[in-house]
Amino acid sequence: MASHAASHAYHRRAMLRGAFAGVAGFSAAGLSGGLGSGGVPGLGGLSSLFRVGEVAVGAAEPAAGPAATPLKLAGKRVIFLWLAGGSSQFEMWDPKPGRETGGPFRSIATRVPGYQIGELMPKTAAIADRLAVVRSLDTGISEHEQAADLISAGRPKEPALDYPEIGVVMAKELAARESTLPDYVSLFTTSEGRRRPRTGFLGARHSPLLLEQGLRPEFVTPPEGVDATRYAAREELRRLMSGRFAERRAGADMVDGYNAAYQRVRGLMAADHLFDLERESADARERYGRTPFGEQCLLARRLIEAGVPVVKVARGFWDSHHDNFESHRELVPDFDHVFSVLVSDLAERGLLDSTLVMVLSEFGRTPTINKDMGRDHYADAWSIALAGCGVRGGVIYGKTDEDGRKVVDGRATAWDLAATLYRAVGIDPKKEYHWGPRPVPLAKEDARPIEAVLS
Amino acid sequence: MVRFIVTCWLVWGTMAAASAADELGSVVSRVDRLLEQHWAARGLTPARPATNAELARRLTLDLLGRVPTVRESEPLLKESDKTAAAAAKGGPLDPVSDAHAGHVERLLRSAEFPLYFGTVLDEMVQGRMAGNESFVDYLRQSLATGKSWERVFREVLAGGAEGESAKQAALFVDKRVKDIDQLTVDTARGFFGVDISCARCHDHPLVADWTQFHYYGLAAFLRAPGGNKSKTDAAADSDVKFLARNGQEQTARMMFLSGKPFEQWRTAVPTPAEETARWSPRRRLVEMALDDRHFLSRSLVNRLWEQFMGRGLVEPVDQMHSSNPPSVPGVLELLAADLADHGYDPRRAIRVITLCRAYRAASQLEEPSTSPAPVPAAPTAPGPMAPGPTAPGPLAMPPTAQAAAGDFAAMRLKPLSPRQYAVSLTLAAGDQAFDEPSASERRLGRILQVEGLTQAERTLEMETAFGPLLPRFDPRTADFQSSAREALFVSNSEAIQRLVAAEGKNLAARMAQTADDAAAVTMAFAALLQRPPTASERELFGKHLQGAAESVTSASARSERCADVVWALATSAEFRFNH
Repeated sequence: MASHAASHAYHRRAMLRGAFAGVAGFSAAGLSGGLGSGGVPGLGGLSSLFRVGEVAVGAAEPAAGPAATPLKLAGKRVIFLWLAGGSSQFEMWDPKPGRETGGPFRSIATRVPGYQIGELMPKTAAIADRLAVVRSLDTGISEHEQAADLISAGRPKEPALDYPEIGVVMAKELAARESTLPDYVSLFTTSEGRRRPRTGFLGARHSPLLLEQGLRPEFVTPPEGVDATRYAAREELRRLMSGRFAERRAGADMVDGYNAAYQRVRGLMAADHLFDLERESADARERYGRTPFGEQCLLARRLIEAGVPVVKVARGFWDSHHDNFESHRELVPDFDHVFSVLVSDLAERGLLDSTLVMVLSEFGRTPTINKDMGRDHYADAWSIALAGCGVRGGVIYGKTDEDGRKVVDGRATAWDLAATLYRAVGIDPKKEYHWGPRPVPLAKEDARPIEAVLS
Repeated sequence: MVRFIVTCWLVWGTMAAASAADELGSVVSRVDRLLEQHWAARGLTPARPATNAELARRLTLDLLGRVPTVRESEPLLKESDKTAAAAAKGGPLDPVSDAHAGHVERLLRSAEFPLYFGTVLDEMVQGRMAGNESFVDYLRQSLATGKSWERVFREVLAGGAEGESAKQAALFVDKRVKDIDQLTVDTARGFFGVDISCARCHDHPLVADWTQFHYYGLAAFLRAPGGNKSKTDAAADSDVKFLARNGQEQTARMMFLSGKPFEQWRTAVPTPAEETARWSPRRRLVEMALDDRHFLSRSLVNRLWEQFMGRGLVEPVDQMHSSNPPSVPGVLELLAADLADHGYDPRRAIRVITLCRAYRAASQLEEPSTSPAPVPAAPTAPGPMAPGPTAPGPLAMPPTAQAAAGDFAAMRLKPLSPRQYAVSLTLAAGDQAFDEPSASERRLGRILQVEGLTQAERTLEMETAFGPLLPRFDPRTADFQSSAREALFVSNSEAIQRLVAAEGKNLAARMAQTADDAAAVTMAFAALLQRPPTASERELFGKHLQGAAESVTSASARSERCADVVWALATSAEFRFNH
């Protein structure tokens, strides 16, 4: 058994190293890389034949008016940390030391009196007063893809209606209308569990800028041999031709949108320096650490500071069916370090009050430790953590039983969580979009925000 | 390939006997009359008829999924001035030109048509699950062999296709069979044009047509495993139990969307009871739907109309119910009845739609200078909208400017699908080998009396080659939205730069070898936009090319500038949209 576990541990370390190496250089398959698998999403489905309108409940603003971002949303930002594969609440937020389900690690005190956290997270323990931890999620679905859909969209799937993910909605709501920056940047450079934020019925215009090949976006530098002058000249020809063509055309609004996309390209290319970590001080780089996750979170902070409303950083390899303790011994300290630095850095820069940091997974891990010293998928009682904008620091919400098998207090669903997240950044969860004739509230109708964690 | 050729040839042989042109013409005029009445009632003047060259581009994109090649559009370009002048004089009901009618027939007969249109049908039926190569090929083969939509519907849901295609047809059900809700919802949307997903949990709040009994009644047909293989009366087994909103358990028996239960329907049909009892549940659904006619025919016709006009007569296309009537009265019913009367032949509906006046309308609205109406406020003006209802005086717009998308008074722009865009770009910017058959290909085409064999084969090769690039382009949707992702890819990727840069005998290379700037510009416009440049465009692009003459390394600089002209035209809205 021991040797078996050891070989797995080695295997996982090798995998981690492999993944890190992959981040360093651009993939050779850059052009067709990261295209996902199965189907051709680009061909659009029936679902996308719907018009999407938007109506703010109780608000009198014209539906298509060029209104500025509402005041209460102005300057609000979101950093979304996604622990892909399902991190273990037992080794992190909800330890059960000494119990059969607890595993080998101890728990340690935090800055919140009475709250004990896993011993692998000493740095997070020291900033626990800035966090709200929800230990009572009961979300039911324990299959990766379906659970990721559930948590990301904050509602169950419907066969005919493709919902946008929470991050996509937040980006749409929080974006400043005149900004040339991307609304949503999504980083995920490892292959395990890679998923792209789904824009659902909101459509391609709301697609995030994806950083899948490295820390810099694809296609933001002109092709070889095309210098700035040449680039500007041909773009000017394109713009003139398109503008003329649009005159008095039936459906000219689509051409306006098309031209606007090319306008945004200029903004994105001009913002290329934002993705350049060399521009950060050596101190900052050392502080976050030169690990992939550290660099991604530093980049997230950099983008947020520049005005990008939503940044998602996904961190893979949490799916510990084998050697759960070995892998968490490696993953959690890295998370602990980077997460605590990120929260502290945001606070020092005066950004934490306006930036929601959310740590989510598709589910937690089983109380029962399996024969491979692993923990399997578990969605009946697990934890997430929040910090920053709209979050009441030092609140530890909800409770599981002594073995962590069941929620005994404060049961919360995926849609309760979604409503909570929206509320934290000042978005009304009851606000409605329209999909064809059907009003669609942002959060599921019966969602109840977890008031206790909101400030 | 050989089998493909043979089957195409068989169909086209039988079609040669078509002598129902007058009868087709009368249906087209009835559609035209209905639209004319609608326009008159709304005080609208339809846009002028499109020129033959404009129509040729539109039609080639709609039926073959690509822009016309230089060889194809050259003859039309020569006569474009003539037809433009003639068209300008035309009234609202100009007759269909022989050239256009002939073009429709030629393209429907081309080997490229089933290849492209199979992908269109696939998206209509499969929705989000579109793109399964085997299922697409089944639809392609069905089109190539002239299979009726009735038969496709039957084979997909209840089986009965021959040989290998049985398996391919079954993929629609097979891929969904584990999720009865997905199968129920997708069957209703794909074949009947209705979305009843709301009725899974409660009676539809907005649409009185759909109750939970409709949802579970349809699910009852689809739920039973075994499909057409079921030997016994499975009615009792396939009752579906569900919880109503009030918490009461209910039992749904097989019931079609029309509201008629299967058991009640079967007593009224002439088919012997012993036989209907042997039908599998899905076969029962198929028989009921075909007896009903309405749902199947209206859905297909509406989706085809949407495909060709950029908007359905009923919109959204899967919201066909009593409280969402068609935007123009009468047309949908007429087309649906005509389709069902003509053996559910999709080509029949395509002919009627592409010949009617609305399809032949230009995409540009009339010049708004005929009335004293002021130019609408500049879009940059941030001021609030005029409050309340305004008097019709100062803000009144000329009639055509008020035409809504659902009036079909002008051809609405249709964004190219990723596939259309990729194929068109590759063709227009490339060398001219696409429609340059080898001697043996030419001979084979003559023997089999098939046009477009070479093109079809090359399209299939292209499809494989750049399939992975398609997700880089924005999907064609009713509410098309452009993403910066596509614009970044098209602006900066080496893949696109390679397409437009001068190489071999491609467009930029041919332009660079043309000493005369005006001729080079004309060449680019012909290849990409299928029209000659206007005087100001000739000047604008000519100037761009001239810049190179002053440069020291003028040969390569000229090539680069030619490539930039190709890029600018290929990314202009005029290329990106079908108009």
